[in-house]
Amino acid sequence: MLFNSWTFWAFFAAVLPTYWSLPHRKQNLFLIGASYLFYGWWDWRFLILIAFSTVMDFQLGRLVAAAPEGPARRPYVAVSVVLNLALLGVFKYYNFFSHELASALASAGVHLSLPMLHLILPVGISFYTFQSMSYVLDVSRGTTKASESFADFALYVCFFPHLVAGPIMRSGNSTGKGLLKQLQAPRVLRERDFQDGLYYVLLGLFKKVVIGDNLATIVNGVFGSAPSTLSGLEVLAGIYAFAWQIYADFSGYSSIAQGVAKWMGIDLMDNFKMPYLAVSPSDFWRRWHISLSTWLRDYLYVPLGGNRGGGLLTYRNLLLTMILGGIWHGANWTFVAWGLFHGLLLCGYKLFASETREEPTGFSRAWRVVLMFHFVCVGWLFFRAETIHQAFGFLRLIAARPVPTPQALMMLGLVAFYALPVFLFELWVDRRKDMVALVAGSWQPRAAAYVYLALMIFFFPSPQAHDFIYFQF
Amino acid sequence: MTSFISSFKKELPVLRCVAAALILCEVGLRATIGRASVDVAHIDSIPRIVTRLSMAGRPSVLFLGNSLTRAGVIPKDLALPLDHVALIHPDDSTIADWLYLYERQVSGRHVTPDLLVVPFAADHLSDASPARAERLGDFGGFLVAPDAFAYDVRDFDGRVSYLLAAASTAYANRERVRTELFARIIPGYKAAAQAMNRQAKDKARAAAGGRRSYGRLTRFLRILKSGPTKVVFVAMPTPEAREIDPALRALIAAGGADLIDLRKPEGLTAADYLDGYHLKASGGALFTRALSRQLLERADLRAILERK
Repeated sequence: MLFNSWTFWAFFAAVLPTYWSLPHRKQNLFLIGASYLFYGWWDWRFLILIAFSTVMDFQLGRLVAAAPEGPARRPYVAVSVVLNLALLGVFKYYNFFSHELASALASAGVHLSLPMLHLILPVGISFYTFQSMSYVLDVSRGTTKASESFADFALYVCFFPHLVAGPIMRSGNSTGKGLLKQLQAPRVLRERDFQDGLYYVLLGLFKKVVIGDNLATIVNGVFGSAPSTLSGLEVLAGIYAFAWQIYADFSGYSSIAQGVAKWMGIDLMDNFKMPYLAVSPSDFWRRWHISLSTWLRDYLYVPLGGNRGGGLLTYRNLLLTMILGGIWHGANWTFVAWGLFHGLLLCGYKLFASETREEPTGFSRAWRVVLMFHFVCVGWLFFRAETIHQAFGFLRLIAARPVPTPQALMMLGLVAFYALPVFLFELWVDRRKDMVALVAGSWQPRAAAYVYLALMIFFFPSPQAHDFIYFQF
Repeated sequence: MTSFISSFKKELPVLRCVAAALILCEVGLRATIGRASVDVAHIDSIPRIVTRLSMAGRPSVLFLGNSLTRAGVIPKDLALPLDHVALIHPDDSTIADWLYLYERQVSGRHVTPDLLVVPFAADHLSDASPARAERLGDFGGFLVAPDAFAYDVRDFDGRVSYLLAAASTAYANRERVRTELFARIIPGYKAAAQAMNRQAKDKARAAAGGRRSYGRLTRFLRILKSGPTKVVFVAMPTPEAREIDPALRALIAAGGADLIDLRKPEGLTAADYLDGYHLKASGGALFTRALSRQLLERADLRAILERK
């Protein structure tokens, strides 16, 4: 079920009043059923995987908690990590790695025929396996208590608003309100929950339906065309369009998830904080896909040593973390290249620049924002390209043939039409340092903003709906 | 639940503004869209067109097509009394739309033209063009909803879209509003969008690999066969004259209809095209006279056209 579908809203219209009519314990059981229905609507066969991951990590959590602190806990943690990564490995990476291995061996004269698996990639597998793993890791570190209730834990894994594309929620309060902790406690609808939820839902639908889906048409047109038919400016327009498509699509999904959860009295973390206003690579990663970047920081970068080993070790850890972060997105060298690019950006920034306490303002901030946005766009080129070869080909086109064709001007016009209002709005939110500043203020500006959002959602959905990009990760 | 309701009430002023804006758009579009869009004005006039035809007496000839028909068929060159000829030609329509239009506006109102002429080109008669629930809802309305839900609009989302389009002028015309606005504010939008659409259609055609299905045309022929109306399909001239699928020829013949091939009428040149696709006035006159001759050359069609 997609959030931008009538089916989902009919489902939610039935779920919400039923949910609030139930006592706490029954609410959780009801939500487990609703979440399994939500996920099973796409393909009921893959419910077995979620169930397996849930049962496994619940039991492992209990075993970890029962074991004394220290080395005694490691085998259980290792089992969780290995089995969760094995699930990912089989469904997501097996064909890619076996193909690459066979190609590499063939170039050395060794011909190996490995079987290919014809498996559908289960939607959301990268998200719920990482979330479930983080629970076992946190229990072993003592930062969260093992759940005594299987139902609470099961709901923590399968809670439908964030099940298929995040945010990846921690069980405890290490990065804000832990989801498991919230599910263990009775929910109360707070005074602003409906208003906050409506804000998140409307903004999310606008981003997905209006910006993401409409720009997808431009992006698919550019990236699906032979380079000889494109001018450099058309390629650039396509990259700008993708930058806003992926941001709107993904942040839109996260926003709707937050809104829907709010209406059930649950707080999901902010997964994006105006990332295209970042002034540096590290600032960007504090604003983009925050649930994944903090997961990688806490469970990969820090255990590798973080920046404690100084100089070269820090750079190694940064590069490894970002490359693995790239691989998380999918089985293609383009994702590795994207991760490597961001790793090099972070290393380069550490080497040549320094973070200051004072935030830059005015022109000093503006040029940094523009520069950082363009660095990020270079990364997006690799992320979206079919192959590394295509990415480099497009870069050469931008340099060699920057011709302003009518098509390029039209594409840039459309990107501006869709993305500029959101960019200006985020500039305003960023100044106020409050993600829900619009709700905190008086109702008149909010009404004007919602009228704009509603009319745009009504009149400007794309003629062709597109899947959420992150469903494939 | 009561806390949810009281929280909802706090936001009522905002929700009222949003609802008012949407209602204003609906009212405003109902009042103005016929004046702003020639195509919408034509679609709104279809009931009157069909009524006039039903009162005109015999022979009554209905042309059902799209903008190719609007540009290519000149009624005064048909050698028939003008009030005995009616043209229905929503822009960008294909068999999916014609089927619903015909069911709702013609057969659904028990109007039976003597002759139905369907000019087509490319894939207008195949199932290649996806059924757009909003368009079908706009053309078919609530009357044809059961058929739509049985054949073309089988998912929940599509059905909601169909019903909303049947009920709301604003919802049914969203694409027009969007296209009109972009044409005014985005430089080069129309030409570039048409080029991108053609690219996408060519890709889809290539992906289909020449395999075509004609489910909608089959249903259309079944509806027509049950009545006294004689149907003629006319392959229209376009700069790239594509081959007519043998399966299409066979289906039309099996459905008791005729096919007239006017892809290359004598005397038509590249100069007779307006925009590389639609015919100019000169091209339309030439095509219509050629069509008129072809209709009169067939004994059964001539008999229909000479009825009084």
